Amino acid sequence: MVHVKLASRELNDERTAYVDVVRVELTVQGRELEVVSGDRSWLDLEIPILDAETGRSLRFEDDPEAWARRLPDAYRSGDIVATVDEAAVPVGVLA
Amino acid sequence: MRGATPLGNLRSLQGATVVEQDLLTSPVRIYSPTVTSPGVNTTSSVLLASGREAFHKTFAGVNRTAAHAYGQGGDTPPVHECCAWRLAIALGPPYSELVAVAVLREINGEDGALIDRRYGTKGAAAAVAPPLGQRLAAAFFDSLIAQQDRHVGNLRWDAPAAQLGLIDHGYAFATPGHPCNASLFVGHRHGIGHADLTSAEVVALEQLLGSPDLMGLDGILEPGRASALADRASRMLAAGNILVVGDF
Repeated sequence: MVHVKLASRELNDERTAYVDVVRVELTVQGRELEVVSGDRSWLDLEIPILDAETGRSLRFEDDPEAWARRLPDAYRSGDIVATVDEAAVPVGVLA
Repeated sequence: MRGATPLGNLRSLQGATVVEQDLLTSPVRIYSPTVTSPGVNTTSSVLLASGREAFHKTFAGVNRTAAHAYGQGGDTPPVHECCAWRLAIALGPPYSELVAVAVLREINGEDGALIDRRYGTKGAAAAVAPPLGQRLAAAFFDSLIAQQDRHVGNLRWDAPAAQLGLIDHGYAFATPGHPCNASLFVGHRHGIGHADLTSAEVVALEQLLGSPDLMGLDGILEPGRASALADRASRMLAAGNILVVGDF
């Protein structure tokens, strides 16, 4: 399972610091994608991501988990940040 | 006055516009590195004393594994951010309105590209929202600079200003054989049957090729990348249309 947060970097109201505003949070397990919270429209499933290991463009439909794991590579501009929790596991699995 | 090195040449061209001057000289009020997953290019959010927001992409922050996968060097992404802007400002509108302003600036001892923030929405809807003329211009520019990664996350549609913004030019100025991950505007322009160059685009290409130094980029870009740029411009002129996706 891969757990991804997509956040936008915004100035706080006082314009004294940047804060990451989580826009959408999702998990991908196998071929199943679940939006855990937030606005699904922030998720761009059509983005291809170049897989540095193979040199090929990876699309969501090719391998959803691998695609989700590489989302940080797709957002390099700085105003949108994808973070991946590689260790995420389904609730209860380690209980 | 030209510098003695590629970076010196780049610095010698900077500062001609108000926004460039602001990016170059305004004191930094906030410098906030992005906290993200390991191995990804490090980008810092910057608030300048002028109130302008920008992003600092340092040479040290380049993810070399990803850069090499694109056929880029470890130092090329910040330079290419600036080169895209240099070409856009040299060509003038509409390109100078599309492309994010970028300058080379050292902050806190780290050299890198300082890029003006573009506001607006991203995504598939944002990619088709701009007027046709802006989308065609984006395609022409991306074809010319051999943009390797123009996907729906690397644009901003500022609806109130009715202005498309092109961001993230680190992976551009590719040479033949380098991978193209995405080039949505180039594909779109071919797909809707508008690949033919406009008369203004022909003039722009003729001006670029007529310039003794490729509008300043020869001497900044790596030699092979500069010659590939000239070659693309020549081939576009000869064919009378923009190149197809991935034709670098």
